[in-house]
Amino acid sequence: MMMSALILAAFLTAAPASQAAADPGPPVETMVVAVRAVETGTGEKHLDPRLEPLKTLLLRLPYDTFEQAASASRTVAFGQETAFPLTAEYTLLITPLERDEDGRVKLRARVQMTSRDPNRPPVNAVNSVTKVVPGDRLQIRGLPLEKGELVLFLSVTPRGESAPPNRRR
Amino acid sequence: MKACKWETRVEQWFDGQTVTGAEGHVAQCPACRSLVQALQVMRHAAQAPAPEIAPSQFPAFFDGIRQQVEAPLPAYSRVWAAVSLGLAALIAAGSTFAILSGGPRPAVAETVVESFSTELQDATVEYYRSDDGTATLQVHYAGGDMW
Repeated sequence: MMMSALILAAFLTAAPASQAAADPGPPVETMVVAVRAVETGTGEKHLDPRLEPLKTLLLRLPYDTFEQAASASRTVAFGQETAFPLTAEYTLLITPLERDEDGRVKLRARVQMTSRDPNRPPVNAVNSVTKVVPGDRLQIRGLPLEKGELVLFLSVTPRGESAPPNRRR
Repeated sequence: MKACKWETRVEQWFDGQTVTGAEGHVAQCPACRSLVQALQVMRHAAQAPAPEIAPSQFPAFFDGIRQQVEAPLPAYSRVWAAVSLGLAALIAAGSTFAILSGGPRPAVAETVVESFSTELQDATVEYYRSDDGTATLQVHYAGGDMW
């Protein structure tokens, strides 16, 4: 009898998690910021004012100039791949896959690189699957640019939900 | 109230004391004769040996005790016993968890990269957390003309 009660309690506790897995819920608001980080050799640090919230992270990198290459915010449905053009060479493709029992958004993030040579097909410079805590940030860096690199910051928040206050933006 | 004024002396005589005329009085007095008969019944009962359990009866004797001890409790008693047992188990589990984990703390899930790869030639991808804990994927490119 006691065992039955415990099993029932465990089932009732687990039920919301399994429902969450089956129903991913509303689309996610996806925010992307792309930063062109280059070394100009001027000896002075230059930070695009729009990147001020990312100052601490960016100024640690071995470059002296940081310019915003792109920024976008879009609503993306689960199972739908959405393209975020970043530069002439790079495009970010985001596909939310599901939400896990902790509320994290599992998503596929591909950074596709297009060669200037039309005979070369695009390739995935990065192909990843990540469980992202809503409001938290995923950083992708090291994407080659002339004299520097492209740095991406990606954040997702399910529509209708606000990011936890303790999460970094 | 005494049925006969000789009762006390008859009881003393019955106990073995010397009471002159008591035996003759009992022979004539119906009340005192009944008293003596009652005292004789009591004396006989007191002197009767106590019943003993023969060795052959021990198994059945202990079986009876065991049946009493193991007899199922009323239903409501079992419910309360189960509730008590459950609460005790919860308290024990909670205490153990608190001791082993250093006290309660909120469970916080982290952003985790499950898989990553690159199709760039002469390049690899590394996954790490930056100084501020940001999940980071970094492409390491060895050089060459990628454009």
